[in-house]
Amino acid sequence: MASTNFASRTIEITVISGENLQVRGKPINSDLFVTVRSDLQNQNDSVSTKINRNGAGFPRWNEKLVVDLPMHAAFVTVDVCRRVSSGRKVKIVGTARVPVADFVAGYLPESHLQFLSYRLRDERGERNGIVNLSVRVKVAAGIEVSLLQKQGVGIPVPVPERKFHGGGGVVTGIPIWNVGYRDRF
Amino acid sequence: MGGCFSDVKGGQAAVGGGRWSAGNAATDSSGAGHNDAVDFYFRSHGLQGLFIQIELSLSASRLLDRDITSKSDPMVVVYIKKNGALQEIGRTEVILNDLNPQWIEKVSVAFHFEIVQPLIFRVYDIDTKYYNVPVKTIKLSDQDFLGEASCVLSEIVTKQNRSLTLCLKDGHGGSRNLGSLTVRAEERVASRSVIEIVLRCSHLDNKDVFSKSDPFLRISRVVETGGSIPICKTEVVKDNLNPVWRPLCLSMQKFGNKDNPLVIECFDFDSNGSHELIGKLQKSMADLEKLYNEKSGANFVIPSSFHGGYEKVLKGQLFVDHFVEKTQFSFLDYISSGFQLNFMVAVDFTASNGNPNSPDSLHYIDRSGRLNSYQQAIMEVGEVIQFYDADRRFPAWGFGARTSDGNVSHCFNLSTTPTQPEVEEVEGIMGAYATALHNVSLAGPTLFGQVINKAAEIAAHSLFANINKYFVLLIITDGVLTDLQETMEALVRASDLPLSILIVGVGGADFKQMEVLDADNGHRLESSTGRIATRDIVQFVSMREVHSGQISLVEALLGELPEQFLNYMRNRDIKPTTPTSM
Repeated sequence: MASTNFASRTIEITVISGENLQVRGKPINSDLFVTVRSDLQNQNDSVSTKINRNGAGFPRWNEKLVVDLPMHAAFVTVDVCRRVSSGRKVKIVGTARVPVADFVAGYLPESHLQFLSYRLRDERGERNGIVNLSVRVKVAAGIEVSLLQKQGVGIPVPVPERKFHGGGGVVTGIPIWNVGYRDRF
Repeated sequence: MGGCFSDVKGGQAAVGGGRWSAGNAATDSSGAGHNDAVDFYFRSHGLQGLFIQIELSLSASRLLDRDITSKSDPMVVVYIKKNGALQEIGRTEVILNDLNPQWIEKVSVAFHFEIVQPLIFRVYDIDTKYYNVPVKTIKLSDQDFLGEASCVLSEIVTKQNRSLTLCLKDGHGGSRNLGSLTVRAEERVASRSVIEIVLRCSHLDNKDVFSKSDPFLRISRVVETGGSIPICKTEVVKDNLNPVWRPLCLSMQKFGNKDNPLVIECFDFDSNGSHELIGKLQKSMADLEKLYNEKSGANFVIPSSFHGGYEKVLKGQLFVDHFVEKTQFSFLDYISSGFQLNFMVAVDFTASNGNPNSPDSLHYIDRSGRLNSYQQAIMEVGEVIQFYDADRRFPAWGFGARTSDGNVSHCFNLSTTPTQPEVEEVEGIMGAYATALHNVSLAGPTLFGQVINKAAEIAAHSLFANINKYFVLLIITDGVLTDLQETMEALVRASDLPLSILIVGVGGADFKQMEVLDADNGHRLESSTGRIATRDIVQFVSMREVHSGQISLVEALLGELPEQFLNYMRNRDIKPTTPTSM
């Protein structure tokens, strides 16, 4: 792993379900599974769900995956995949990039269970469904957490405006109270 | 998707199997402890003293055909006559192209033994363009009238089979035959048990020539007194002989008990209304559970048209992919165990409202005491919600005005203390609003983002302390948003918090934009980064439209609130803190 200097945190991602999954505008009937990894890991290090055999583009996995997230990871990549050519090759149907800032933002208690949904896009960037997740950050023993919680309960922190790139969809203005951001400096 | 079918889309949607039906609240009187909020809930629903909650199921035959190229698309509206005035108590869904409809949506009414309760039923043919609109909002004056019938509630209840058939009349004393309406009454079962189930079929017969069948299921409950009552239908899966339908969530109110036989019919959807029966079978919930456990299928049969009583067994089978029995608590269960709704208000101070000193301004405060639109909205909504808020201290903000420091603020406290946004009681909001009008000058543009972020922050902070608070932000505005994208981002971020947002539009502006924020039509809000709203937290109502219709502002605004509250609590498996009697 690239992140030897920094500690990592553990997150529990429950892959709940998919909605309206399509390949070229048609609902997918084949067996699907989901892989999850941080943007600093490659495909081989990802963890994956079991295959779901429900059809018509609305699969339900409801499976909890545990992901080790390096402190300076900015995204979690969620891929919905299917096996092709008699199950030997894996093809990615749709991908969602989940900003880490969406679930470690400091104004929520750590370890609070969050329900998050994301747009999936195929390799050409076309929208082809939605993936529903729940995320819980496992509380690691350390100063960082208690500090954050004190800050959270005490003074209300004004929510700074966030700016977004038009096309790329990458968060550039990350709140100052964000842990991941602080750790980068 | 499926743009070419947009006309029939409403007809292809699922009915009655929805996940979050909050409508069972009023049945749970037995379990509720003494509590101001609970008392208020009952009083506001007109329920006092002893009553039995009754559900009316409706069907009709030989309705008048009003459409030229197809058949009528009927819906029933039920009224109760109180002190000479008609009060609407419910509507069924719209059934496409059917002159002999059996409606699935029930209308509930509290049966008071000691009162004569006259009921009026009006049947309308709904225009095609309203198919994707919630039935509550359909304007009846724009629809074709198919006839009306009336009776007294006790007439139905005292019938041995609890069912009464009435002749439809034109309402002007005419004697024309307009068909008949059958009303069946059943007592609601007070139960918190629900079953979540996923159904699938295999090897269905193909009924279409050029493509495969478009199957959907209709489930009906067999009733002791004979016949059956439809309780739900699934969505249509197009062009598929091995369909899997979305999960159904059926409450005990709907299916009776686990041993009550259910008729499951599989139809091939036809946009002209004559759905062809593919096959049917009869199973109880207990049987379906067995199918699930054994992972086996049940064969459909089809009544043969030649030999009376003979049924042909088909190759098509029904499977149960998922079967879970759950306990579902009602809104009242939460409220009576100490859960609170915390009210917050944000008022639009942009210049488009007009100079507050001029009588045609939306902010004009009339000395005679007549309330302006802002005051009306604050009063009407505040009066209801304050009962659910224990300390009655409400944060109140303004946006879009130049404050005393000379800068335009998009979230300032209405109270004169800059550090304390909270005011006491609804009167406190009214007072602070009037003072603020003197202390700030109206400016612009109209931005919601900061106010929503502020409310979200408060809702998020509450999670550090406890989980039994839910927040309701009321935004009153006269106009068009400048920061639609930023507002959407803020709403998407807030969608996983214990927060609902009510938006009231005042004045004559075009509020199309607001309908986008209120994701009623099933489109979930999406941020520019691809995050999608976890759930719908916005309810928008235009005051102008409400005042021309039959329902009150409060009803239109707060109607979805219990459901949004329950959706949040159930999703996270948060249970009422003290167990109420089951």
